[in-house]
Formats: sequence, C-alpha cells, structure tokens
Amino acid sequence: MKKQTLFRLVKAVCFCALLALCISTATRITQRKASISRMAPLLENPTAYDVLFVGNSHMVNSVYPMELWREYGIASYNAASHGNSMPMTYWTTMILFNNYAVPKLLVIDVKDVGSDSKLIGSSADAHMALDCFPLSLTKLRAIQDLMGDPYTTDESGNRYADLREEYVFTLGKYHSRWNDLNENDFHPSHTRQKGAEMAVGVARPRDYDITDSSGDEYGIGFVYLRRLIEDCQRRGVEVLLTHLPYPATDEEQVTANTVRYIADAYGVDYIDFVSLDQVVDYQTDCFDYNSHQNFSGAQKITDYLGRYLRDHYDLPDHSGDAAWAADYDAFYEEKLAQLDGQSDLKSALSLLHDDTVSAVIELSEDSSVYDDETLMRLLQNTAREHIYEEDAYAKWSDALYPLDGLEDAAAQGEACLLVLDRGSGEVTQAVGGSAQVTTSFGVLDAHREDGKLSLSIKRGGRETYRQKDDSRHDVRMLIVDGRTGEVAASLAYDL
Amino acid sequence: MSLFTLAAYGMLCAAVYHILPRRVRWLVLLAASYGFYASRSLSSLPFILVTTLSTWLGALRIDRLAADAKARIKAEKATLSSEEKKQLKARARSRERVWLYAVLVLNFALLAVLKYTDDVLSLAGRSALGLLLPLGISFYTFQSMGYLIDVYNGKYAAERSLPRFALFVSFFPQLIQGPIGRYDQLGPQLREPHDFDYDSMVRGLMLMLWGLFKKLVIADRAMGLVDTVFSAPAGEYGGAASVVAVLFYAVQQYCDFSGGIDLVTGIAQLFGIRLAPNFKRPYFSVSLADFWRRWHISLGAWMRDYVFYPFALTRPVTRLSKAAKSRYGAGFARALPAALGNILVFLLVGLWHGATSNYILWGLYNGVILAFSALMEPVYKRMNARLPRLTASKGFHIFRVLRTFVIVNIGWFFDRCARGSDALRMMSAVLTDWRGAQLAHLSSLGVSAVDLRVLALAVLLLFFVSLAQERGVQVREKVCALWLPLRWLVLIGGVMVVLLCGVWGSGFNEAAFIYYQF
Repeated sequence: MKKQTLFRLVKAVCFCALLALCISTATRITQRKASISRMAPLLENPTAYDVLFVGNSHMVNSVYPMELWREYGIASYNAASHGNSMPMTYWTTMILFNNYAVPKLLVIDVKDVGSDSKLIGSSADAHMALDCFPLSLTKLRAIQDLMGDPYTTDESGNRYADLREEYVFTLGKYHSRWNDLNENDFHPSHTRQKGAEMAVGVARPRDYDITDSSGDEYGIGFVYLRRLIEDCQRRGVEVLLTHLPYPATDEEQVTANTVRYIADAYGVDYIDFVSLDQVVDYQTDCFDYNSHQNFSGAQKITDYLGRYLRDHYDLPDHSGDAAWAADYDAFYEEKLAQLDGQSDLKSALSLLHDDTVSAVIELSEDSSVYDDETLMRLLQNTAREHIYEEDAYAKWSDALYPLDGLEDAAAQGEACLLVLDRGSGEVTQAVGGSAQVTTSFGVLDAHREDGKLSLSIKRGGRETYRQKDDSRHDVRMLIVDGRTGEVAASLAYDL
Repeated sequence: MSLFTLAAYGMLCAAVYHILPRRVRWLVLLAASYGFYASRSLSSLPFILVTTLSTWLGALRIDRLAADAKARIKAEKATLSSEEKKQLKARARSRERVWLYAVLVLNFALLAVLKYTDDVLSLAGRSALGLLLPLGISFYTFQSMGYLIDVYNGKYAAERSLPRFALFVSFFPQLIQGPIGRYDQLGPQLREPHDFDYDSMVRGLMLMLWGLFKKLVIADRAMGLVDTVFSAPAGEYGGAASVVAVLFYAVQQYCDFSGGIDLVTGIAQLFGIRLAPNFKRPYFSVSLADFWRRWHISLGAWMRDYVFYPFALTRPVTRLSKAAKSRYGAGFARALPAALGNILVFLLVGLWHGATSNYILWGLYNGVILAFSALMEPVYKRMNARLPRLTASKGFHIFRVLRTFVIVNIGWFFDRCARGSDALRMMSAVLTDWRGAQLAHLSSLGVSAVDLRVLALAVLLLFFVSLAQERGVQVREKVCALWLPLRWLVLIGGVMVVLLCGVWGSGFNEAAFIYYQF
C-alpha cells in the first residue's frame, strides 16, 4: 500500500471516529432522560435483581420493588413501561435477556394481551420503552418487528414504518432539544423506585361486574405471550402471570380468563387480581378513570405479591444488603416529599396507607370530612391493619378497619384525633380531640379547647415538637418520619 | 426515505461500486437506481418502464430508419437520381417523424393525464380521482424525450443496450428533482467505470453536507412562516406579513431546490459522475433573463433546445418576423421570435408546475417581462453606451441585482399562492393594507425566536459563501486547503450543525422537496 493511501486511510478512520464520538455525545445529551432515568439502575447492574416485573403502566404503577425488598428481602426491578403492548413487552424483555442478564423469575402482567396491534401506546410510550437501550441486534430486530407493518400509525397519524430510524438513532427525535437542555441532561438523575412510579391521586373508578367467562385466544398479544413464556422456560426463568386489578370490562375479563389456559398449558402460576376482587378497594385505590392503581393500591398489590413470591418461589433474601438499604432511604425521602406540601387531602390520605409513615390526624368538630363518604373511606383506609384473610396473601385486605371512634365523632359532631403509630401498629381514636398517647415516636399530648388544638410530642423528657399554629382547619395532619420519629411535615386542609 | 437515508444509501452504493470489478460497475448503478425507485414507489415502476422501453425502441427505430435510408442511398448511389435520393431521404424522415411523434405523444400524454386530470376535473367541478404522480416522472420524461429528439436530429446514435439506457433514465440521484441530464454528457459517464478518487470523494461528501445544510437548516426552518401566511384565510395578514412571507419563500424555495441538487450532485460525485449544474447563485442575477439562466439551468436549457429554438424557427414565426421588419425595423424583427418564444416557454413551464391560474399567471408574468426586455434590448444598449460609467459602476450593479430580486419575488407570489386571485390580493395588500404591527409577533406567523436566530445565521453564512463563489472563490478547495485540525473542525462542526439545527425526524418528511410534486 502506498504511503499516501495509508495516510489517507488513517485520516479517514480518525475522522469517522471523531465524528461518531461527537454524534454519540450529542445523542446522549439531547435524548430525553425519562427512559434512561427509569431503567439505568437495572442496566448498570443487571445481575443484581432476582425478579423482573414487565407489562404496561398498570405494572409500573402497581408494584414497588423497594417495598418488596423492605418487607420480604426480594431484589426486584419494575421493568414495565407505559403503553406497552405484549409484543413490546416481549421485545424489551428479549433485549434485557440477550444483552444484560436473565432473572430467576419474570412476572408478566397480561393487561391488553387481547390487543391485535403490535403497538398500542403513543409514540412517546414507544420511545420510553426503547430509548434506554443502546443499539443492538435485538433492538434492531425489535424495531423491525414492531414497526415493520406499514399500516400502524402513531397518535398523529404518522406511520411507524416511517419513524423507525428515530428509534434506531434517537437523535432524529430529540435533536431539536439543544435549545432546552438543562443540568439533568448533562448529569441525569436516576429513579429511586427501581422502575416503579408512584401515582398520587384518587379518582372514581368506572363500574364493573365480575364475569368468569372465557373465550378463544384472539390477537397477536397471545402469540407473543406464548413466545415470551417459551423463551423464559428455555432459559430457565420461572414465570408468574398476573392480571393486575382494575375495574375491567367484560371483554377484558374474558380475555384475562382465557390466559388461564395458557398458564395451565405451560404450568406457570397466574394471579388474576380482577377475578380475585379482594386485594384493592377501587373506591380508595384508583388513580384515574382507567383505574391505574394509586399509592395505596400499589402498596396492597406489592404486599400481596411479596407474600406470594416468598411462599411460592425460591428467591434469595437480600434483607441485609447495604446498597438496597441506601436505596430504600432515598425512596423513603421521595415518599415523604410526596406528602410534604401535598395540597390534595385525598392524595395525602392515600399516601398515608403506608406502614412506614406514622401520622397524627385531627378533624375539627364541624369538619366537612364527616359528610364526605370518600374521605371517610380514605381515612379508614389509612388505618387498615394487618388483617389476613384465609387463602389471601394480603397484609392489607379490602376489609375496612373499624374506626368506631371516627364514626362516633362524626355522629356527635365532635372533633376527632387519630394517631397512626406504625412503630407499634396501634391506632388511637380520640373523640373530642384531646388525648395523651404513648407512641413509638414519643408521648403525644393533644388538648382541645374552644375549637383550638394544642399539641406536643415529648421524647425522653424532651419536647421534640409543639404545634404553633392554632388556627382552625377541617383537617390537620402531622407526618412522622418512621426512621427518626421526627415530625417530617405538618399539613392543614379546609374543604 | 429521509435525506439522511438517501445520503447513506448513496455512500453504501458508492462503496459497493468501487469495490466491485470495473466491468460490472454500471450494473451496480442500475441495480441501485431500480432498488431506490422500487423502495420509494413500487407502484410507479410500470410508468418508468413504459417510458424507458418506448423511448429506447423509438430511438432505435429512428436510428435504424435513418441508417437504412443512408445505406440504400449509398448502395444505389450510381442508379439513383438526385431527385430519387431526396425522395428516399424525405420518406425515411417522414417515417422517423411518425416514430418521434408517437413516442413523444405517448410519454407527454402519460405525463399530462397523470398530472392534470385532477386539476381539470376540479376546474369542471367534478371530484378528483386522486391520481398519484409517479416519482420523478417529469424529470425522467423530459430527459428521455430530450434524448429521443437528439437521436431524431442525428446528434448522436441511439443506445443499443436496453439496460444501459434504463440506467440513463433511472439514475437514482437525479430521479427526485433533476437535474435533467443530456445523454451525450451523462450516458458515457454512466457507462464508463470510474476509479476511486479520494479528492473527488471528499468534495462530493462536502457538497452533500452543504446541500443538507441548505435544505434542513434553512429551507425547512423557513417553511413554518411561509406555510402559515400563504395558507391563511384571505385578509388575515396584511402587506407586511406578505412581504416577509414571500422573502422567506424566496429563501426556502432556493435552499430547498438547490440544496437537494447539491445533495444529489454530491452523491453522483461519489461514483465519479458529474451531473449538469442546475443553479448558479440566481439571486445575484442582474436581470430576469440572467436569473433564468442561473435557476434550474437544466430545465431552461431543455426548453431552449427543444421548445424555444424550434418554435422561433418555425415558418409562421419567421414570416411574422419578416413582416415586422418592414413595419417596425430590423431590431424589433430580430427580437420578436425571442419575445414570443419566451412567452411560450414560460407559459409551458407554468403549466408544467400545474394547470392552475397561479402558475399560468406566473408563466405569463415571467414570459411577458422577458419578451418586453428582448424587445427593449436595443434601447438598453443605447442607454448603456451613453452612460458607460454609470452602468459599469458597482452601485448600478447592486441596483440591478436588487431590481431583479424584487421582480423575481413578485413572481414568487404567483408561484406560492394556491390561486392567481390570492396572489393578486396579497400583492394589493402590500400597497393598501400594510399592518406592520403583525411583524411584532413573529411567533404567531409560525416562526419562533430560535428559528429566527438559526435562520438569520444560516442565511448569513449562505450569503457570504455565495458571494465568495460569485467572485470565483472555490470554497470547497479553500476548506480542503485548511490546516487539518481546522478543516476537521469545520467539517465536523458542519455535520453537527445540520444534525442539531436541521428540521428532520419525528414524522417530518424532509425528503418531500418542493419540486418533488412537479
């Protein structure tokens, strides 16, 4: 080879390498960080998780890996993504299996398995599911398979077949963000919830009736569900199928009931929460009309699943893991942050369905809460105790805790004080609003006079908290950090 | 297929072209061209095949008839009288003409039916059939018919090989929007194997980058304001917004078309093939005639060779010119065929854009101004002779450039509006309904502050590069001569500017050139 040719070849290679470096840096910086932020902990340390949860937004909102670890020592990751169809779930799982690691157990939610489309969410959902994965052969196959059909369009009517390039090279989607970049684009923060997302809010669910009919396997979703199970079994991954709870239509229930045949055919477990109809309370646990589960519902589902996994699968116990403990601490801060400054009473009450956060709730004599059925139910929901029903793996059953004191106060038009002490598991109800209670976070002295409450908490003879604001409110709350016993937030609501 | 995919496809095909043996390289081009065409529009394939086959057969037949007549005359030279020879030639010519007209009518009829049926139906108040125009049909039809006429005129022999001719018709870089190639220039280049040339490759890539910059960073960013104002209901925008919109359109139209041409010229250069130039900095023109010699050069040349001259040399025009000579003088008589030819050519070009009132008015507007200029040319010459210092001054040159720019932009109103009446209304708003306050909120005109900043910088760069080229500077050579780190900085910076500041991706069809529809 001539010297000049060699020199030109070296030059061309160096130029291309430098150009590729610039383009990949620009791609990384301009990319929206939601996808990578959600999945980075899993992709950075894929072998650290024994259980993966996959599915769509119902799974994202319903299972908290951090709580599974705290209560059951299970190391899991919620790898589900909003708007995932079963084919998308199949392919994202394949990318994880082929390029990262295989878990011991894969929990697959079968919502929308009856859909005949390979893509059912928006194009933003598809980006959310795929953007986090670097380019690989499996990712290319996924894009080709999911978007090869020339008739599938996104919400704007654009054909996915024409958009494939922007899923392969995400710069096509995000390049114009150069004008909106912020600190997070250069130093992205990662999820503290191991892929899950807290849905904070309370909504009225749609009506539903339980049906036990089943039908034929119809739709491409079933094909991919079978492929996914077969692939898992080939790789030695155990499979658990779930149909997470929501007020499903008859058609959706028929589809979900049909999944039982698949579960039986492959010898895998299947929990149909919809037909079980006892783990969550749709009156308090729905986040939206489509009935994604809110924080309260997710806590119940997570706990049910935790017990089920512990009893049915041989999973290692990671309880003493310091890294998980540190992660849980960050997650706990996020829970407190959600409560602190929460302006919506219903949301705040749903967030109190948490056995790691203690609370003192005070209702005034003429509080409008007494007349609001949903709020009363949410109040009772905060106090649900460890009531186990036979054959049900639920710590929080759907049976309401009998808050007689609260009902008496409502009937008599009296103030009421509720003390939810998660440390001891005790729930104190004081009609009239005055009480002295010894709790795990100190001695609480509440005294109500002329409609005003004075409240203090003493620990070891030292006053750790005194309520300074004596203005009247329908509801007041003190949120107590379960780790330190310190008051983390003071909230007040007028209806 | 996005522009980046087109560019990548071009590079991939070029790599294959240079790797494979020399004798099969033209076959790589043919496969790449038909592969491109089929991937873009499989349903259009029969149309390009009809044009290819009919033109190839027609040209062969014409060639054979001419050759047979020539051979017979040669063979029977001794026995044939001069009159018989003439008759034989005339008979052969007449048969050739039948073939010529048959193929011309077939192909132009096909083009006209596909292009105008819906326009005619809508004019007649009937619902449109929604016929899809096959990809590049105008360009490959013009190119093929040019070849046929050249063969008929004996300019060169007909191509014997169907695949080689098919490559001439379908060469993929020029399929989308030209330039319209000539067989004697392009044919041999496509046939000959080209060796890998590093310098040519680098310059081709740089031209592609420049084309992408013009198209994605400038044209597609200017599109928002243009579409907003020109698509608005009557009366929504005043004259100020109309003027800004037409200026944006001038930039968009030029960068869209010439950017695309730069891209495909660069791709062709990767194969060692030089396409005919299509633009020569038209906004630096000093007259409208000069402008049309610099804008869409290949179409202008096609019209000149196959419409303008044949028309100007027809018997009726010659007679008219002779008649005018006795009445208005020799100067007028000499200019008259050119004036009429210009009107006809621009009317046809207008019709080629579309059978709607705006395009017909656009054609007439340009044709009449050019005809007037042709008729007035003796006067201008006398004036220039009397004021030599003034007409040679830089100020007068700038005045002529600006004057031409204004004349061209008035024409763009007709070109961009959906109807002729819309164009007239917008132009009247410039004089009677200014509403300058509308410019205070440019974002309501479909262009953000960021768009404006990027556009301003990009247009400034384009202006200075064009100015340098106009002064004879070889910009690509200058860049290649830079110190290596600086050169790489310019090139990598250019790529990053196109990628980050270009309008592309997310369902945006950046490959949909304005001229794609014609």
